[in-house]
Parts: sequence; C-alpha cells; structure tokens
Amino acid sequence: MRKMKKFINSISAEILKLRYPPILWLCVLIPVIVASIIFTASYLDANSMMQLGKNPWSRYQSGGMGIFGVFLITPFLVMLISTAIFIENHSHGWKGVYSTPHTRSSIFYAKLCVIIGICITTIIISIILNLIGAYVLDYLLPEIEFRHYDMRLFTFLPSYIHVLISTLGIIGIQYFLSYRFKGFLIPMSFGIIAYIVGFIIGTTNKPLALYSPYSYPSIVRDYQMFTIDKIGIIQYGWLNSVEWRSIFIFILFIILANVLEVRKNIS
Amino acid sequence: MSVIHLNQINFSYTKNVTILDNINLNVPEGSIYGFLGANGAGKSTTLRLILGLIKAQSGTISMFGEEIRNTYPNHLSKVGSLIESASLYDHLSATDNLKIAAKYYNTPTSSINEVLKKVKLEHTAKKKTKDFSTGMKQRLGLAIALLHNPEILILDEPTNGLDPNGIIELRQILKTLNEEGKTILLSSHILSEVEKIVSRLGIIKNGSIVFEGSIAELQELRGKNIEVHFIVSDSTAASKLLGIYDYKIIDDHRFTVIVNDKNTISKIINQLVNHQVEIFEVTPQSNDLENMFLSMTNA
Repeated sequence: MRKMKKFINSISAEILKLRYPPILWLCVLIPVIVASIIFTASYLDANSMMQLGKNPWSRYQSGGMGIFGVFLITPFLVMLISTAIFIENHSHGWKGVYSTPHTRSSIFYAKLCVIIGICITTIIISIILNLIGAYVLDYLLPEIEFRHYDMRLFTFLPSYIHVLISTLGIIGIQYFLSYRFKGFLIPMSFGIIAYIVGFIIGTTNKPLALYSPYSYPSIVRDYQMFTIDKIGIIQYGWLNSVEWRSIFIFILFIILANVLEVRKNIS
Repeated sequence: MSVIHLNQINFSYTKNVTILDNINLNVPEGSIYGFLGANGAGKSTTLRLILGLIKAQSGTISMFGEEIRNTYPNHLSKVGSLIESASLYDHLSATDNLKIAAKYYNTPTSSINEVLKKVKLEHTAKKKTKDFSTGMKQRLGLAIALLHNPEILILDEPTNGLDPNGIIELRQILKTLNEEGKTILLSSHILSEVEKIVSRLGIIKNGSIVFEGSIAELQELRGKNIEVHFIVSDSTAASKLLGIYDYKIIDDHRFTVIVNDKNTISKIINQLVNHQVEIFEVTPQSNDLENMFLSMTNA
C-alpha cells in the first residue's frame, strides 16, 4: 500500500514536470492535424463519402485512424519520449529525483506510465475531434447523411487499441535510447530515420517489415482496416502475431533499460 | 552518536584510477560537519556515495545506525540534499518545482511558502526558474532540500553562485537549522566560510581523509608556530643572525622564520636593527584554517 502510494506520488510528480509547452503542443497539434486533414478531404471530396448503403461514420473514422496510425503516431512517440526524458537530462534532475525516497525503478516506471497515458489521451482527443469534425460536416453537407447512420463508436475503437499496441515496440526502443543517451539528438534522429525506413519497408516489402518495429503500426492498420496481410499474420486470441511481437520488444527493451538505469552511476 | 558513518570506502570509475581510497568518516548527530578538499579531491563523489547516486566497490555506509544498503531508499526521507547546482525544471515556476519535490517526499504543499520565506524567495514564487539568477537557483535548491524538514542536510558547495550577502544569509540559515537540531554535512572550498560555522571537520586529499576532528584539534595538530615573512635590505646578512631559528631564505631581500611566540618576532627585529639590516616589511602569517588547509592539501 505504501509502495503504491509512493508510485502514485511519482506519477503526479511526472505529470507536473511534463507541463512543458512543446509536449502540450504535440498532444493538441497531432489530433488537430488529423481532424483537419480528414475534415478537409471529406468536405472537398464529398462524393466519395456518399456511397449508397455505406456508413459514412466508418469511412470518416477509418480515414482519421489511417492518417494517425501511418503518418503521425510514430513521429509523435519519438518526439514525446525524447522530449520527456530530455527534460530530466536538461535540468540535471536525475541526481535530485534519485536522492528522494523512491527506488529508481519506481521513477522509471512512473515516467513510462505517464508517457503511455499521454499517448492514450492524444488518441482520445483525436477521436473526439474527429467526431466533432463529422458533426460539422453533417451540418455543412447534410447529403452525406451522418444522421441516418449509427456512429458505431465501439467498432472502430478496437482498431485504435490495436494500433496503440503495435506501437509498444517503438515506445520500448525509444525509451531505452532516451535513457541511454543524455542528449536529445541521438534518440530523436534514430527514431525519425527508423520511422522513414520502417514506413518504406512496411509499404514495399512486407515480410522484411516483421523485423522493423517501426513498420508495425502500418501493418496492423492495414490488417485491421483492410484485412491486408502479405506476411502471414496469425491471430492469437484478440491480438495478432505482429502485436505480440511489439509487446515482446517493448518488454525486452524496458527491462534492459531499467536494469541499466538501476546500475548506473549518477555523476 | 554518528548519524553518517563511512567505513573503509573505496571507489573508482575505472580500474586504474582510484577516486576514493579507504575513506572513513563520522558525522556526529547535531553537528555542522565541514568537508574540505581541493577541487577533484573526492568531496562530491563521497557525498554522492552517501546519497546512493553511485555505488562503492567496497566498504560500508551507515546512516542513523543502519547500513544504507538495507534501508535504501526509505532513509532518504530523512535527508535533504543539494549536490553542486540545484536540479530545477526551468520551464516551471519556483512553486511548481517545490510541488514536484513535495510529491516525491509526500509532504503537504502548505510548507512551500514557509521554505520560500526561509530562503527569501517568497516574492518570486510564480516566476519561472529559467529567469532566476544562479544565486536564486541555489537558494531554491536549498528550499527543496529543506521542504520535508529533514534530519540531515547534505550540501555540496552550497555557496556556489551566491553573492557575499547571500553567503552571509546562507551561513545564518545553516546556523539556525543546526540550532533546531539538524545535522549538516557541508562541503566547500571557501574555507573561511566553513571555519565560521562548522563544529567538526574532515579534510580529504587525493581521495584519502588526511584529517578528521574539531578545529581545535586541527590547530593542536599543526602546533602554535607562527610563520613570519620579512623583507629586508640584505637577507644573506640577516641569515647570519638567525642561526638559532628555523628560517628559510627566499631571495636577496626576503626570508621567512618560524617562531613560537610574538616576543621572538620582536627579538629578531631588534637583532636585525642592531646589525644595520634595514627592515622594510614584517608579516606574521596567521595560523588559521585556510593556511592549515593549504599546508595539508598541497603537495
């Protein structure tokens, strides 16, 4: 109970620290970009939204998730994690936090929880903005007939969860790199380059993409939204083999980063 | 009773370079312990070891009578620290920085105003710390160290960046805290500052403790000899008159003599004058902590 209280206090401290303008902007800007793109595209190409007998909500939300899952979530995570850890490095904060009555692991996992929490919050903001965009579109172009169809929130929410799980490997690797390198540049550069390479591999050579965790969000999005599978994805329960790989990479890198952090000399 | 006890501590970052060599240190409860040494002597490393920021290769560290490896990290709830520069989040205000510390130490935020007053930063509570001067940052660092009302304060060069008034204020704050019952372990290279407030001293040189005790014990160890510098017309002629004294010729005009009391200085002056050696300057070197420290730590 005392340990839990300490952990909750650690999380509160991390939330206070992350009141950092670039991070706040990222959390708002990414959903706004997604919502703006899908809204503008739908408004300018309203004909494609009007397919007889097809639910416009599904098309609208799928578009939003497609943009988010393929183009934005990976760069967002790279920037978010690099910045969150950089705040600590920049302020020489480690010697301060590690002199408090908290274990290094407790601080390590509290920071990780907050980062994942920010990621989930950003996805929720994105979903809400997309819904608002759809209502505005319905007002401006009633012929799309959003009002005649069920919103089917619970049919596209799992797709977001699958995409989020597929990013866990990226979170693990970026978290590891950000802890290992004091500067901002190495983890950020690695993440961006890996994202570009992963994106290319993910779209051109699917089997190779299994070895690139940075390709997983686009593979999972294709599989979830369009049931496209060129690499032989196997379903294990609710999760597929790519998502399990992502979870495995996440656990591996997080454990490794934590072990190294606990043993590190703070000079 | 020692609240901090280091026993046979050895530490090195690499195999070939020893940073701390068999360090033994005792900080008595209720004392202000001055930890002195030249830059690179191993002061900060020792303090980091005590706080668990680095781990010793051998030896034991105890706090409050228990080995810290058994009590880590819970014993740190009774310790406040400021290691070199303060760890501050520049994008946040002084109050927010203190709120973060309050979360880590599970301390009510109601004590924030109190500590800000203590370090005279109550009027800048809302100001972002990126706009703080070095001295203000250092004072805020001290406020963070004091926030949870610790039993021990570990301060590494806390006067860094403080102006003379700030140093005097800090000295007063530390004296008051000590009177309230707090034990303070204070490292510094500004020896005149330490001399005025410490009740016990540890001197470290090249990773080894060369002295531990009170100022009185240090003075006793060094003896009551006074070194007197002379500038005269002819130091060679003067040296012929100084046979019975412990003297050293520096150049044609300057020499030093070690004497036991001030009457001897007067006798030497009379001797020189009687033998037509002109005296231009006589400077007795005080036997203060600064000189003792320099003589102990310089090779």
